[in-house]
Amino acid sequence: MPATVVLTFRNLFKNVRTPMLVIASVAQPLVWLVMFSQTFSRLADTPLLRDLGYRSYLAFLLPGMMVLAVLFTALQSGLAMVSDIDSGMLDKLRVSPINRLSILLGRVLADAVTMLAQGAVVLVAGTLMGARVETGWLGTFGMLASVTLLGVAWASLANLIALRSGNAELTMVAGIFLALPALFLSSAFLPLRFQPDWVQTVARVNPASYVIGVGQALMSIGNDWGQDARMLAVLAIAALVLMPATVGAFRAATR
Amino acid sequence: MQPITARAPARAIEVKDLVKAYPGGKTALNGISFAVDRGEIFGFLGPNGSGKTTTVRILVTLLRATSGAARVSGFDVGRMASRVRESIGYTAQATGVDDDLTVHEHLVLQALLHGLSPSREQQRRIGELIDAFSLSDVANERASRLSGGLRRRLDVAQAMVHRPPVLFLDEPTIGLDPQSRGALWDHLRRASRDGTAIFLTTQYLEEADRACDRVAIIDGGRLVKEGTPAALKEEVGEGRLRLTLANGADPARAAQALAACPEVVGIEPGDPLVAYVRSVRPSIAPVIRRLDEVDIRVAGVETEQATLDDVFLRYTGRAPRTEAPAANSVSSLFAAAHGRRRR
Repeated sequence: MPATVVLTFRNLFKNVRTPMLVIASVAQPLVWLVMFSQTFSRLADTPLLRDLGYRSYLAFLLPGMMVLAVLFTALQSGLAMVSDIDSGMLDKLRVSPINRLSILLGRVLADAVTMLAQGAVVLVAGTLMGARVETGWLGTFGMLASVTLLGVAWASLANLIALRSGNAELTMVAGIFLALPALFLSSAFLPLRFQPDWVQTVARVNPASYVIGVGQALMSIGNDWGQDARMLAVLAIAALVLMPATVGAFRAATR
Repeated sequence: MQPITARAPARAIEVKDLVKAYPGGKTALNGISFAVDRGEIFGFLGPNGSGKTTTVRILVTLLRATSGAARVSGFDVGRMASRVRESIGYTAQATGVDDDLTVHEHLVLQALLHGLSPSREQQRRIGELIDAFSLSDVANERASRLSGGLRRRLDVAQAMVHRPPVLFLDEPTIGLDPQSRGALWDHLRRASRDGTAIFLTTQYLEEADRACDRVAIIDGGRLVKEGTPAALKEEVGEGRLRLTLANGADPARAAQALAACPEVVGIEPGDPLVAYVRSVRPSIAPVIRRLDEVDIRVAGVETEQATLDDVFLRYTGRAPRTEAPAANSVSSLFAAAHGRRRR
């Protein structure tokens, strides 16, 4: 069995063993989903929103909450890395006859599986509350895939911070500090055109904003290939910047 | 170092002129050389910060040496690190145990990481290790529920799953109760009889004395002494006489008198006066007689067998850490600091 697969299972096992962590990272977006869709319903569920093509405020809010779920899992990925460094587990893996990059790959793959599951849970919850994916199964798959891609890129960032700092508190604080602007400086809660110019400008360099935008389109309006291509390009740029940096940090930490 | 040919199997560990200097200018290893054979238990003794762990981490490919050569199973640890990793088992000082996995899962994980298929033979091996390290009661418990001693045993069992020809154990018995410690030594001795070379570091001299075939004493990044425990002890003499002098006697003068005594190989001045002797019982009478000749009366004599503590003290000028705070080494440290012994 390739080491990457072995380590993916090991990391997933850990998630199953501490289900509270996974549940908490799903519960949070669910609570937000209920709160915001109810408290904002009068304010946001308006003809103005429907004129833009969105079916309901709930449908509009759902993709942002899927992103919120994976951002927290990405943060946990960084924390798990710190814990492996502290417990001596990383050293143990380093003296095993395996390709060292499989340690990182095994983590990313386990993250991706967890994120797919979380995205699905939030989506199902939204559906039970009455939202519907207008673009059907393909749209559903597209949403889950793009949310997971963003999550993996974000996990790469969390691991970068974890490997460079080796510090759980710092990884945690940085993760939360970065997650909230990623969510609020996007169309997650309100269409961008209702927001100030500077938010619109920042959203243009925020990868999460692109993923949320595509999700909102897939929920209500329909697929837009141009929008999809822009999102993939932004995610590719993020990956090109983050992955070499994270691999570099990993190599430096395991030299 | 002997040339390594295909015909002559390489020694398990060969280290030559190993140096590790850190960027800040601190030198952790100052050119150490030694070799360990198959089936040998080699103990690396030294105080904290002497370079023990640095040596282990270089040998298990976690750290790069600044200069010098080190081979494990004949493979250079720098250039052929992956071959080295295939042939070693390693436990670090901080146990590398994953709180969320069970004891059994740890052993399976380790086997899989070494490319061993989950065959029936492999399962039997894991079952054997669980029994041998008395882990059967907790085989399906998560590591987070294990006591320190159990974690340590799991860690060593993990290092042996793939039957490595060379085993590196960094302070394997720290935190173990005497019973688990005995069981661990039994298992290590059995492995060494099967040809496994075992390199371990310890601060417990008494333990190295009993269990190691050979020991090396490291201090300040240098090997100060190497040999079998028996040979090392012989150098400091077979034992000691602890002489309590009668009131009014001058310890310095007594020490001077004993220096001329052929039975005495070393003196630690003070009161009581400690004389290191070649053989304990036969030297009692000559020593007392010699002091009598210079009009020094001896009020009491205690005899002690030499331990590696004495060797350690002799070559490093420091007492090692021992298990019981009241043990000899601590009192000798106290003596060095205060000029008298606490009894």
